[in-house]
Amino acid sequence: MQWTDGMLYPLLHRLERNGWVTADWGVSDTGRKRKHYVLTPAGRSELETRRSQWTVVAETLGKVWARVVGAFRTPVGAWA
Amino acid sequence: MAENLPTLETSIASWRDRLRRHSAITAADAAELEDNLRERIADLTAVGLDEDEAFLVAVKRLGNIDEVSAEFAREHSERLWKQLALTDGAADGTEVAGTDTRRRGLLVLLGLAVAAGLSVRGLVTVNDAAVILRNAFFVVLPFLAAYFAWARRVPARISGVLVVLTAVLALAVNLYPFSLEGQTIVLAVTHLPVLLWLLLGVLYAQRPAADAAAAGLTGASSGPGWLDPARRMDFVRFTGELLVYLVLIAIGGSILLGITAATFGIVGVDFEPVIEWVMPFALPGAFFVAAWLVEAKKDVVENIAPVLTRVFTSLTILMLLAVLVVLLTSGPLTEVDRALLILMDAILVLVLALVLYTISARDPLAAPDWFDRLQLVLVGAALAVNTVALVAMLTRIADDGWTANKTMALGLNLVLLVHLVRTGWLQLGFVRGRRGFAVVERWQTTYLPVYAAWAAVVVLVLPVVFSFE
Repeated sequence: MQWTDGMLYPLLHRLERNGWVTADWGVSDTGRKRKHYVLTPAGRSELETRRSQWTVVAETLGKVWARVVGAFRTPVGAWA
Repeated sequence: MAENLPTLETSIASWRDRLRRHSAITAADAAELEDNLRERIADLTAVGLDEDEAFLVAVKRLGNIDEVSAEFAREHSERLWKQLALTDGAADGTEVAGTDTRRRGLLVLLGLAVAAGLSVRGLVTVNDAAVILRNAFFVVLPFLAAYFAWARRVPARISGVLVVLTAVLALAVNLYPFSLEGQTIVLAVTHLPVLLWLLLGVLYAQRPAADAAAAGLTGASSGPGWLDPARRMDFVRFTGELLVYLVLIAIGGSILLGITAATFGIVGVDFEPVIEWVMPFALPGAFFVAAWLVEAKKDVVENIAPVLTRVFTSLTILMLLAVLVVLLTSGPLTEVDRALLILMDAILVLVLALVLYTISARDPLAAPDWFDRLQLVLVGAALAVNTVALVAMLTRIADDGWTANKTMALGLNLVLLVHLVRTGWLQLGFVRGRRGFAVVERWQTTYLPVYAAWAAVVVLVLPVVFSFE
C-alpha cells in the first residue's frame, strides 16, 4: 500500500479517539472551514514514551551494527 | 482565467460527490479532505501550474478514493452499519420536535404492554386449558390494536366497528358449545389469530394524522387507509419485519432465561414462581417491543428483507420439488395420510407468505431480473403441489364424506389456488415485460381480505355446520 495525503485523516481521527490530539473546526485565512488539530498533554507524554522507546531501539541496533561491522573488520585485519 | 474558475469548481464538486458515495466518509470528513485539496491546489497554482494541472496533481497526492475510504472504514467501522438508535432525532438535530411525540408513543406502548402482561397473567391463573386456548389472542392483540388506534388517531366510527367485530368473535369462540375433543375448536382457535391480525391491519393501514392532512391538501385519496393498496402493502411489510424481530428477541430472551434458570438451579432456588411471573410479561412484551422497533426504524429493517427472501425463495423451491416427488411416488393419492394433506396446506401458506413478503420487499420500479423468474418457478412449483393435494383431497372426500377438517383443508386449498394461479399469470406477464410490477403487487393486496373472510367462515360458520364436533 502506498502512503497518500488522504490517509493522514483516518490516522488523525485515530489519535483523536485515543485522546492524543483534540480537533475543532475553525476558519482558515482564506475564509474556508478548516479543522485544527492540537496535541494534548496525554498525547505529548505518549509521544515522549514512543520517542524514548525508539531511542532505545535505535541505540541497541546501533550497538549491534557496530559489533557486526567490527567482527567483520577484525579477521580481515588479521589476514592482512 | 475567469472561465477556468467554474471548471475547477465543477471538478472539485464531482470529486466531492464521488467521495460522499462511500458510506465510511461523512460530510465532515469530506469537508476536511476538500480543505486539504484546495490548499494544495492553491500552493501549486502559486508556483505556476494551471488550475486543472494543479487539480490533477492535488487529487493524485490525496490518493485513490477507494483506498482512502478503506482507511476511513478501518478507523470508523461503525459507520458501515446503520445506527439503530432508540434515542433518535435529537442526535442529528433534525427531528427535535418529533422526539417528544415519539417518546410519548413509546411510553403509551409500554403501558399497554404491561396491561397485556397483566391480562395474560390473569388468564393463566384461570388454569383451564380450554379457556386459555380460546382467549389467548384476545388478551394480547387488542392492546396492540389500541396502540395503533391511538397513534393513528383512528376515527371512532372505524374503531367502533372493529370493537364490535372483535366482541362478536370473542363471544362466539367462548359461547359456542364446542366438543373439547372435536376438530372444530382446533380449527376455530388456529384461524382466530389470522382473522384478528387482519382486523388489526385495518387500524395499521390508517394514515398517520399528518399524512392524512397532507393527502387532503394535495387532493390525493383521502378515504380509509385500508382501502389503499400501498397502505395494505405497508401492513404486509410490517408483519414480515415483525416476525424477523420477534424471532431475534425470542432467541435472545430464551438464552437469558435459560442461563438464569440454570444459575437458580445450581444455587438451589426454585425458579418456578419467577417463570410464572416473567413469562406472561415477556411474551407480549417481546411482541410489543418488536412492533415498536419495526415502526420506529423502517429503513433499517428493510435492508434485511430482500436478502432473506432471496435465500429462502431458492431453498423453498427445492423443498417444494422434494415434497412433490415424495407425494407422487409414495403410492396412490387416495391413500395419502390426512395429516399430510393438512401439512401440505401449511406448506403452501408458508410459500404464499414468502411470495407476499418478497413482493413487498421488491423495488416496484426495477426491471424484471433472474430473481423474478425464480419467483415464477416458486409459484409454479407451489401450484403443482397445490393441484396434487387438491386431487388427493377431492378423492378422499368422495370416498369418505365431509368432515370439518377436510372442509377447512379443501376451502383453504381453493383460496390458495386462486391466489397462486393469478399471481403466476401476472408474474409471467411481468417477466415477459408485458405489464408493470404494480399489477402483481396490487393483486396481492386485493386478495388479502379473502383470507380474512375465509378465516371468519372457519371460526364462525364451520363449527355450526359440523355441530361443534
